Amino acid sequence: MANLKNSTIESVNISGNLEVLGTISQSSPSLISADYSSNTSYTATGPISHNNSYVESGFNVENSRSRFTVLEEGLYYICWHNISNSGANTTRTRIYVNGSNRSQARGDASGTYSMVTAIHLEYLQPGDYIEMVHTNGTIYMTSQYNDFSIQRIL
Amino acid sequence: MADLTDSNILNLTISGFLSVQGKISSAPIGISGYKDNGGGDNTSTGPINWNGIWSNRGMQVSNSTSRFTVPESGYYVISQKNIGNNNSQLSVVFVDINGSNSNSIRSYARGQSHSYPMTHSFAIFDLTVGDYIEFRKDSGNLYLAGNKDYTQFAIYKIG
Repeated sequence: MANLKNSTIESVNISGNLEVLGTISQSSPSLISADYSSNTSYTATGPISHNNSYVESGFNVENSRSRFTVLEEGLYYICWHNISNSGANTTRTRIYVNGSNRSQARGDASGTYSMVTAIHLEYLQPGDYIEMVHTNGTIYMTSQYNDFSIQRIL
Repeated sequence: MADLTDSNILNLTISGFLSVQGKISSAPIGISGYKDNGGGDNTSTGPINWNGIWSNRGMQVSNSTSRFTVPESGYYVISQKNIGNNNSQLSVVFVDINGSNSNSIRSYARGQSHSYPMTHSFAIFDLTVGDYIEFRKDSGNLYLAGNKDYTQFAIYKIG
């Protein structure tokens, strides 16, 4: 059996199983998470631009930080939550993939601060893009209430 | 030192750690779907029969589209969200593993007049090949409307 102790390898294809008894580290995984902060009565519709990234790796971030373009083919999980403003009309935010609706976080118009979630999992190709889109109502847009994350599943 | 550049290997076990400067690609396992039902309430109880699948990589789907069997042992993230109707009923959705909720999760929403509560539940489970997952509506009625984007689920293997 080959001795690979402390080896550096350019690329390897493993057709079967890879078992690692230690940890796996990857220098540039495809994942991003961030929050949004602008004002407590956010009404602008369309793709929402985020302010503060927790992590940002492996995506092309475009259009004033509202569009996340996939660089690697794979299965991606997207999760987004937000809080609607009290007393606002029904507040709808959505996860879009390539400009099409995939999942809705619907805040009710019942006079409460509704925290709601959108989720989505889809196999994507390089060039596909993801957006968080506000379509109705008013978001209570302060930090920590409104966050999203995208990760490529290995 | 062995030269493994562009090598093809059937199986590999590494006793230490693996550091990858480039990308790791693999055959991921996961499935996601939705239920729209063309409008109105869903008052029946039992496993939800999903009528749309966004993506499926490696999961076995059976019992119409209500049961998802894992193809490999490992850790799985299970996530679901739904929206209750605007009445006083509870809308409760369990995640059942092998037909049981004894060690699993559920979402809970109480609808009120003019209120469509949205709920979400998620957790990581240690599953064995052949285990199956169902999302079971226990009570109440879900507001499905004509949208694909209210009542949804996602399952994926993380390790």
